[in-house]
Amino acid sequence: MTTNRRELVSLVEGGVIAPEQVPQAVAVAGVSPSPRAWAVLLDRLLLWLGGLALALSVLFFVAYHWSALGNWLRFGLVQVALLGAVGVAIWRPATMWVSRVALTAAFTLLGVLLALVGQVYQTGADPWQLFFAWAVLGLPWVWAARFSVLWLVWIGILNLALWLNASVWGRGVLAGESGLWGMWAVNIAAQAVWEWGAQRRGWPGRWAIRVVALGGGAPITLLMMSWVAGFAGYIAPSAVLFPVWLAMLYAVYRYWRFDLFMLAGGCVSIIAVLTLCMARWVMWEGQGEAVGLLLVAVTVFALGAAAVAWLARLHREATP
Amino acid sequence: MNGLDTPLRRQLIQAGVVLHEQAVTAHRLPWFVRGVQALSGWLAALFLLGFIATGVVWVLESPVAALVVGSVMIVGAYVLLRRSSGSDVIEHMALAFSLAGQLLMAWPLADMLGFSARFGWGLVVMQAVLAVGMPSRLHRFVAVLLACLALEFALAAGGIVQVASSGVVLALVALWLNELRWPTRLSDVHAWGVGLTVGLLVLQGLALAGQALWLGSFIDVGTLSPLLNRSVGTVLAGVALLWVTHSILVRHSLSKAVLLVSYGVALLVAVLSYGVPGLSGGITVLLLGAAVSHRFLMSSGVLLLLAAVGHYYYWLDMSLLHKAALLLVLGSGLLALRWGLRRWRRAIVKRGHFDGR
Repeated sequence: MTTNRRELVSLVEGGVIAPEQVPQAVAVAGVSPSPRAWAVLLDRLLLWLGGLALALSVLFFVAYHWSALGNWLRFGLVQVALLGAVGVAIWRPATMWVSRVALTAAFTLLGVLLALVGQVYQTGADPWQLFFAWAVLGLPWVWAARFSVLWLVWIGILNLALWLNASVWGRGVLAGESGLWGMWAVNIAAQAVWEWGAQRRGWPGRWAIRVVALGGGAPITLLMMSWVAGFAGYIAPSAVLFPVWLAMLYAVYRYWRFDLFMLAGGCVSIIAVLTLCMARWVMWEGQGEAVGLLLVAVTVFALGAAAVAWLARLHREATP
Repeated sequence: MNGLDTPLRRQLIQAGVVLHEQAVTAHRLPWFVRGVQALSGWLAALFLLGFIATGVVWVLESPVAALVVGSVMIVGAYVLLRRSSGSDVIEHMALAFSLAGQLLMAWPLADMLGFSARFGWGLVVMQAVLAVGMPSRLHRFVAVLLACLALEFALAAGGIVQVASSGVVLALVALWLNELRWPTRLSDVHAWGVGLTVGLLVLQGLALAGQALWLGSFIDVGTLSPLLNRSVGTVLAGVALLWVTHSILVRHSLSKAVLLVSYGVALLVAVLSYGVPGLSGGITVLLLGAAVSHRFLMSSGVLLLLAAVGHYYYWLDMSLLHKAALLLVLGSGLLALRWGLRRWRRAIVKRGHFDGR
């Protein structure tokens, strides 16, 4: 439906369809959903909202901290809800969407169960172990759901666990930046595995790989910017790994599996780092002179124009 | 299959629609490539503003000079856009110039009028003129987005809060439902439509995060009458919801009972929205997105809906145990409703009266 719409809009915008024939073209293209499409939309909406409301009700119940109820009953209740969700997911007549909602609810309830463990045994409000255990123990259900959104949530939880761990245990050369390094490593690994699966096994979720790639690109860019901003004459790991990451990105997405989005992300990263370099050397070293600012503005603009010209050429080559 | 032989094209030709293939000349860039350009344009604009602020500070010290230089920059941007013949690079440079010019014009205005409602309305008018007059899709989008923020500011400075976003929802509905009415201005309509959608997301986000976070820095956010404000906001969003519902229902030949139930539910949601601000807006944008098959609108609708319900629930004055019970009832009710609707659909399909082929 949206594909039809996009094509129709492009035809109208390009003047391929005369203005007086547009109403007829709209009727023929059928961009308005049929009653069946509306029914499917309503069905999915009710399923998701209902399923998540039930899972969240258990979360609020645990958060109420009803100690008078006793530990056995509280654990039992959450576990029964968890088993119920898994049961629905493996129940034969369940459709793909019912299974996905049920496994998403089960994954949420696993987090609730671990939070309850933390609450009862006083292991702390949000230690990294909770999120790490949640990610590890929930992996089978995430795998079974074959649902890109749930995979992204899983990767997000792993990122959170690493960030919390780094905020407590970050040390050595990487102190203060270990969270970003951890996020970079995890997201790059996830991107590599997902990309391999997409190429070799036909795994879906091209858009999700791009989100994961953003999760990998942002930390390494920030690390590089941090090194540039505080440059003190030594070569930091980010100064070595940033160009390596860029070269890999270019090689993979230019030659192995063409993806303009990834290359555009690389361009943004380079622009951000070079802008900071310029700002540092032209403005800070030059006491923030007005001409320096103008020079940076012109350079940033030129960098953007060059990047877009290159990306546009690649786009033209890729689309006949 | 090549780009000139698609199922839609074949369908259109069969139905007697004439396709003037030679008209297609533009090679559109993907949104993220334009995003790279936008980002560099905006970064450049920031440094350009810095240059103006530090290098030609005398411009800011004289209101007349600021107005003149600002106007010259905006007119310069307009001329650049007219002559650029669709060049993305020039488009962003022009935007950077225009934004710097707008700030230079706003500076003496704020100096003269203070952060008052009149100042806010002045900004609304300026952005509206730019949204209509600037010959650039990107500039129109940015102008509409800034107009939404200026509208919120102008209304809040006049003591009217929680109304701007409902007005934006109504404008959004009016625009998207008439999207193809002016085919020659389709790209303008899209720029305005996306600007309004992003503006609505920003306004709702700010409203849920707390108005004082940004408005409070400029003005004393106090309302003339909370009851009246909330009522006006509810009515505007309710009208938008009923409008979308009506436009969807008239496209299909449905039974009287289905029509009555649909209008009734829309009205109920509109009324409930008085207690749950943003509920009507979220559902309206979601339905609108589905009605015009626009994924971005649909995703925005889901986001607005979840934000409105989540925010309401978070601030609900009851214990966590009661909230858990309420969610349990709500979740069970929604799933029961789904089950009932599926059974009803199956029964109708069996009888052969359902027209959902």
